[in-house]
Amino acid sequence: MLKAIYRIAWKDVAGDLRRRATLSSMLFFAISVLVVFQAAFEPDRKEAVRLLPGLLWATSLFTTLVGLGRVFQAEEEDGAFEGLLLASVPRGVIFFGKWMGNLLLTLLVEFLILPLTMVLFNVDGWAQIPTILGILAMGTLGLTGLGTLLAAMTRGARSRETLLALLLLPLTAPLLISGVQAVAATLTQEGEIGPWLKLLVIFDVVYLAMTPWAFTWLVEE
Amino acid sequence: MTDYTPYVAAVYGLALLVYGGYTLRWHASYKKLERQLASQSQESP
Amino acid sequence: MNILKKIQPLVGLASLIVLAVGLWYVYQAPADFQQGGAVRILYIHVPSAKMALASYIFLTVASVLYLWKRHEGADILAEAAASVGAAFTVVTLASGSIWGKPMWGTWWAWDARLTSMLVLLILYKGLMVLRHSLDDPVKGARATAILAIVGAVDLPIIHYSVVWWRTLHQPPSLAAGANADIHISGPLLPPLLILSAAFILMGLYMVTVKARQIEASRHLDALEAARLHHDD
Repeated sequence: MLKAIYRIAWKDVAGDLRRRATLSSMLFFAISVLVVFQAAFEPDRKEAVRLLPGLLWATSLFTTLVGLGRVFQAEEEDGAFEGLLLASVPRGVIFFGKWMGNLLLTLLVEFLILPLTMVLFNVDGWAQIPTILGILAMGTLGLTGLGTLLAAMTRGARSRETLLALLLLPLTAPLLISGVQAVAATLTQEGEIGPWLKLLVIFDVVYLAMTPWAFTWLVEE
Repeated sequence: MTDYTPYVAAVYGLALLVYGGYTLRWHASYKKLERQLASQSQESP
Repeated sequence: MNILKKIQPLVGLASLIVLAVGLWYVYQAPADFQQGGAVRILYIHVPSAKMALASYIFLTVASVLYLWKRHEGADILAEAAASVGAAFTVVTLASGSIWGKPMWGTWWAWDARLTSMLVLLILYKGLMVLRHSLDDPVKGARATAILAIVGAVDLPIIHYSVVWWRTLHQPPSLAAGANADIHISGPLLPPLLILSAAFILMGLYMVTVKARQIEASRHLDALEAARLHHDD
């Protein structure tokens, strides 16, 4: 079973790395979001520290949306989704495979933009980078899990990208709130990080348990 | 003491508009649709 | 669905009567010594907020039933509940905002409950849009039902995260103002209870009306599709 998850995920990630389609558009989208933020706020050094957590999460969220638009795209183009469902693997496994593929790409982009953000906004938080990466990874787990389910839900829908954003943003409000607060607490060394990490874990566990089932229900004929 | 009358009036007016408005609109809509349905099922039994 | 047609006039009449009694009580109720006449806003705001949530619970139960039994009636009720719930949420947000202007001094505060309500409104909107953006109605119904259940699990998490977030950041004066509406007691209570009952009946009536509209329009669509198929 693990092997099947790994195979589905790896097919997506390796295929994408070869074509560099999703990864590079996600990365450049993230960079343009950063440029827009800089132009809109022009923060000085002190403001930048205050803005950075929100900036980082907003960029991650928008970037995730770009990636999610493509999770099922390859299968849609050649009609292979139905074939994938016919394969003798449980639906939950297909879902985990798709999720892992999306998770890996999103994490990769986030890990690249974090140092970039610090450089572009002149924030000195190099010592906190491992902790912040950990928080980002925890949030991204739930974010991409829920996102992959919503991407499956909106497969073949009209004006799908807008719909995906409309559905994902309210549902991930807890992730954004706790993620921003946790990064802010890490960066300023003020305030408690514990409750926010707890909230992230709750969100992750709930969605890790629920989305494979929901996916199974969704694709059942 | 502040006079709250305009605020109170706004809220009651708004509630009337939203609840009453939607109910009446849906009412009119289903009446019309059910009439259409009746005439269509007579045409092609 | 036939049972809906039978109870509809009854529920409608009952809700009008209870609503009239409730409004009479509101008219008679004394002004609160702290909040003055503004307390009258809460007689609309609080029942609307309760109904906004109750509609979501109704919607979730209907969605579970639909996925489980695959009865189209449950799906029609779920679709009706989304529209009715959205209407209650809009009034909750607007009346909360109008109440906030004289009490807090601003139209909008990122108060925990207002924020959760705003998220709820977006969720209702998402449910309505998702259903109609899928071409296959059965797929649309399934996806919407699953989204409703995902949302039902998420709503408590959203609520708690917003509460934690706001209580850690809120200046105390605003926090006190935000809690002022909890103190509804004594002579202020009867109109609230009666209007709450009236709103439950009104919500039920609105669901039956909306459900009839949805049912008729689905029937018409099916006839249309059958005729097109026949002509081919």
